[in-house]
Amino acid sequence: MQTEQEHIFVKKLEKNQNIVHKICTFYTNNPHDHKDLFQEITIQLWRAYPSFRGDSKFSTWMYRVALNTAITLYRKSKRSIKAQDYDKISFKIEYEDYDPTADKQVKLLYEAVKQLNNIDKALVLLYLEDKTYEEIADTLGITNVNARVRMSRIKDKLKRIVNP
Amino acid sequence: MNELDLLKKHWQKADENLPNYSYEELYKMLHKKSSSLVKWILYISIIEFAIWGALYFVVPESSNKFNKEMGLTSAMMIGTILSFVVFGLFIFLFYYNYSRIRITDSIKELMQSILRTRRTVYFFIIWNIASAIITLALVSIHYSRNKEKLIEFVLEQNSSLSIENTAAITTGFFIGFTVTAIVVIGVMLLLYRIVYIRLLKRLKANYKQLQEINKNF
Repeated sequence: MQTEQEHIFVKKLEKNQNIVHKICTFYTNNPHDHKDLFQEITIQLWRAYPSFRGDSKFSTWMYRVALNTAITLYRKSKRSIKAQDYDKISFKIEYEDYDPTADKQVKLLYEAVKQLNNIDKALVLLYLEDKTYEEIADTLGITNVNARVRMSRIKDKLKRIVNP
Repeated sequence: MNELDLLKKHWQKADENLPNYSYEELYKMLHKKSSSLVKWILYISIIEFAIWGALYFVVPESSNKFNKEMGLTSAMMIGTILSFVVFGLFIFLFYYNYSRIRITDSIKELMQSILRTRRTVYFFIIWNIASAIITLALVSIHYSRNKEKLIEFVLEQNSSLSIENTAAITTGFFIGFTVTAIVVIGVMLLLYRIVYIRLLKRLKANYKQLQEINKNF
């Protein structure tokens, strides 16, 4: 039987599902794993829903629970990414000003990001989502300083990969 | 522009290419996985019950006759009824465990359900193995106490054997019985290991995941 609470939750999830999809894209390499992780996150979100008190935005809370689930689930299974996986996970982007060098760089960057550890991956994801360091720190339960230090290390690492 | 900003530019254009699930699809997802392992335990136990039940009806006539000669008919009947009742009780407990899992359960409640299910399955395996061992032991004691009847029956069935072969018949019978008993218990242990223990391991893995997720809230 569907309860009112379930209905509200699914509605909110439907509206904000992009967040979960983005996380799945970051943590998985194929559509099957993507769907599996999506479902796992959905279940964990619903289980954790009673802890959502509404004092933060639903989307912020969602990032926290969903990333936590992805980090926990993929902690042990360190999946190495093959070059061809990029084509499966990357999005077909229509370039207004197509630049082959930039495309190659983006490709390399995606591969590099996929090889980061799960926490750093979460950090990059939130950064790409235009979150402030304060929000990143809050979502991942680390300090603001820690977030900045980690981020600067990640940037250095990516720079070395793209410009060896 | 640094590397991440280049990536950010692409990332933010990617939104429209993400999959999009409908309300119904999302709603269904909520109800799927959580209880599926416990549901499998229930289904498999019902299948096992059906197989044991079917085996009971295909016991060869000679075996029934043998039990009758050995004066075991009523004891076997009581034993069979008892084992089916206990088996039925376990199926009920598996169903109870399954039905208790609600999608509205908190992580802690789900963890408790997993522990409860694991406990029930362990009791189920221990009961089945122990009752098989006890039954086989009791039957072999009964046979050894009633050797005369046993030899009489064997001689009746095999005209080629004579009374001089008594010692060989007894030894042969008990070796055969012990080997069969070991094979039966071995097959049961193997099947339980393949089926139930595997499900229990997956439940344990789920439990650990929940434990880790729970730690972070």
